[in-house]
Amino acid sequence: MITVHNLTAGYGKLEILQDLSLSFGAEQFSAVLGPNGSGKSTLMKAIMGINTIFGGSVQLAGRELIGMPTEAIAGLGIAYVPQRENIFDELTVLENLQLGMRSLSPERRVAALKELLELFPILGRRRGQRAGLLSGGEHQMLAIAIAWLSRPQLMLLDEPSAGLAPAVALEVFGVLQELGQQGITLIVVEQNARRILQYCDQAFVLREGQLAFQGTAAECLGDEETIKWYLGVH
Amino acid sequence: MIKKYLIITLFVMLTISLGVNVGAQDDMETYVLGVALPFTGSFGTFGQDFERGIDLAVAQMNAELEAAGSSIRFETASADTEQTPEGAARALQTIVQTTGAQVVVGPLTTSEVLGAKQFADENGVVIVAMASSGPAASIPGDNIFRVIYPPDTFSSKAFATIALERGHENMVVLYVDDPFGNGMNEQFIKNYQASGGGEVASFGYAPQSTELSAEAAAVSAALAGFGDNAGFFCVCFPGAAEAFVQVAQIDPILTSVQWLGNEAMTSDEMLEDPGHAQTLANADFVTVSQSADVTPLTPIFNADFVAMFDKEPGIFTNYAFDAANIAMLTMLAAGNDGAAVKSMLPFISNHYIGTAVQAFLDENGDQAIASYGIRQVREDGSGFEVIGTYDGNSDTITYK
Amino acid sequence: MPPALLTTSLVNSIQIGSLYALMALGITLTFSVMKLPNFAHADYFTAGAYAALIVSLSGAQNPIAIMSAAFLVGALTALLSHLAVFKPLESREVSLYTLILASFAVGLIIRYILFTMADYFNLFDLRIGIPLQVLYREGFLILSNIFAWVVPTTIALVILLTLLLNATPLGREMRALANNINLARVIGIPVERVKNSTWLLVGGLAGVAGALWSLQTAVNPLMGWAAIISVFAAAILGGLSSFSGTIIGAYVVAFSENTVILFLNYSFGLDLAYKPAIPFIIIIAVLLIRPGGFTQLLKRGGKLQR
Repeated sequence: MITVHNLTAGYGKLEILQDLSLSFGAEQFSAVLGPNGSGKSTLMKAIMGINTIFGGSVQLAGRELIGMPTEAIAGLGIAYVPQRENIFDELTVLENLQLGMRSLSPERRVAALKELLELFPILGRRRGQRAGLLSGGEHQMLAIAIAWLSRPQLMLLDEPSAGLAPAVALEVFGVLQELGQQGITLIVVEQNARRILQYCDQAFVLREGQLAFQGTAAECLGDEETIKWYLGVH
Repeated sequence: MIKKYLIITLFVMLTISLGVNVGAQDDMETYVLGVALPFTGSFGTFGQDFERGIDLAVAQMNAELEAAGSSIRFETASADTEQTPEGAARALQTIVQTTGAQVVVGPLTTSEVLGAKQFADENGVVIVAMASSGPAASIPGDNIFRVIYPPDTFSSKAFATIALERGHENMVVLYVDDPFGNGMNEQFIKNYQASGGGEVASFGYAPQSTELSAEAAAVSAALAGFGDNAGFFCVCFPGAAEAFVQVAQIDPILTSVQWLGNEAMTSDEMLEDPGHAQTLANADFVTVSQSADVTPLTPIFNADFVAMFDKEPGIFTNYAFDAANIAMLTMLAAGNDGAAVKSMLPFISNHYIGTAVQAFLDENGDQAIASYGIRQVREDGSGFEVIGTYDGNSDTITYK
Repeated sequence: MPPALLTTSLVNSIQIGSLYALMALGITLTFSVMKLPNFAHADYFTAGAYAALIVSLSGAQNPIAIMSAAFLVGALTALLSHLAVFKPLESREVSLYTLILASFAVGLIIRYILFTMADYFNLFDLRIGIPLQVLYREGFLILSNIFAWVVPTTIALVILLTLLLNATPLGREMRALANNINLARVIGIPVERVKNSTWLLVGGLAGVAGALWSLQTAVNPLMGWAAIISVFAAAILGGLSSFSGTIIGAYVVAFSENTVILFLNYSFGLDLAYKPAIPFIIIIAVLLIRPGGFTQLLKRGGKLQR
């Protein structure tokens, strides 16, 4: 689905990803793991065309994304949920949702909204509220909902469970699992490796901007070395 | 690389052109005539037209000098005063420091003249102003000469006399808060009260104002406070004058009293607006301004101006032309030297009759011939007619 | 303070406050969406006033035609200044100070283009050919036909603008840009197109304000520049972020410049020539005491709401 080839990317003059090559499969739930500063978020931003690309290529089904403006990449059916500032906190919940489905036809909007309220019932109850006033879990649900409403083929999520209480984080992962069952390709950056490996199909471990491990979730969990050294979890 | 060659080429061209200039001017002597005028601001149109008048004077003088075989030529160097005192000081400094000019024609308003004064006095540069009239710049022995327009000490007397003749027991004054407006206001109050006038309420407005609703409300309230037999005197800059009349025209008090006002109230723009023209007509508006006599030179100046610039000269443009001529004649007599020009300028002025009026300077270096026309707006607002004259030197008003 | 003076000055405050509001709303919108305190805004206003004047001089005295022309010219001037100057600068990620300086420069360029044009065609200190008339008079209260144009037009435009921002997809996208431009990009909002629309709207509003202003005072190339400090004072009073705060700010500035100064003049003899100092005092006071302006005071809603 997405093929990254010899990608070197970073911020300003700083190179964080070094000559990275990997490939995410279609309709797979992939986790990108690694310690802080390993380049997980940088990879997502590079796919979205947000940061500085020094070289290499990123292709979606054979189409080169590098050089395209972010808006256009979003238009190809890729939805990205940043780690922070991922909702319009000064707009109402409903307005956030409307912005999420801005590219859908009016008929599809009605259907999408109905479906959404089944998936995220809490957002329906909060729709008139200012999004900035939502609780942490509701906030994250809204961010995922905005992305999902554009009916993407591929969703990139940057640490969707960061800062959430364990029970709420589980709720978020439950939603992600459901999205995966809808046939959406998911790429999720995560700190808590053990938890996400319960849900995902594939795992990629980055270390200092390079690929350190690649395999199924089961393989990753079985590889004590990786878990211990690269993920720092106990 | 290309840039480097370009710079070298330009430098060579510059050197050559300078060389050529020097060669051609072997036996020539160039006197620089500085021109400091407001090219921007609400007086921008005046400034630009004045510069054309000065350019015409210089072109004519150079043609005569060439025909006579003289080796002297005049050249102008101009800078924008931005219609502020600081801008005038900067303009003078720029002209003098870049060209070494000893004589500068301009600036326009009294506040600009005063702004430029210090630099002129300290550097021995002579200022020849054509239209400044504020009494604040009437100072003996300085480097400022105001050769055409007499100081407002005279016209303020005429305004005070007319106010009393009209039976105004009290007066309200709206004036521009700068040396010109302040001077006119102070002199008016002094003369009006010395001749038996009552109370005067004065309101200054900031010179940059273009919206005078609050000021009009204040004037109206003050007039209402004085009751019947109060009159109104408006000392405004162009632009502000129109803005004031615009809001005054529906004010019940302002439209029921008689108005006096300075020349800015009589612009073409003012009467082009029927509402404004009617307001002035209803107010029996009267103004006192220098009589612009027609001398034999006036039609020649007008024709030459049209021939050179393809447009009619604006109001007072001939004053700039005359001031430039006085400056150049003095430089021809005294040489290109500020101190000599300062010493000789009164003598040359006093022997000069230009396009408007005989110049004759008093001990302050100001025009001493104070001959004014009194003009009233026609009843239908279609224009102004001269209803009398005021001789400032003998302080007598004569009605036609 | 005599009742006639109070009444007249209050009417003036409302009329002038309305014009300030129309201009200040544009400044707030530019600051919110584009993060730019745009001093060239003054000159979109002047460009609009000249468009209105030229249409009026050419014989069309229909206020709708005059204001439409002013809207169009103001809008295009603003868009052009964005495309030619602000957008290229933003893409180079210059600092805010550079952008502010650039806005001064853009304003200067527009102003001197207008100067040159006004000099060539002799268009100084002219007024739109709609005569001033008394529409309503009751005691000291006098309302002119210009008041009847300025105030309802302002109210109508403010309502339209509020509807546009809160009830249309474009308005929603503008507010999204104001709130979080990076997320706006990520979810595929055509950021450049929304910015262009915002510039057109902002310039158009300034243009209409210029047309209305020229109903009451003469048109010259400096008119916008003369008003800009008052307008910025209004926007800063509004915290540069909320519409309601900006509108209140505009009326407060106009009220200070008309009623308060007349009261101080009448009661304490303060010189009217201090009028231009009022907006400066307001700006300094707000920045020192309550940098958030009325928005902070109102504590209602967020950026660009009502």
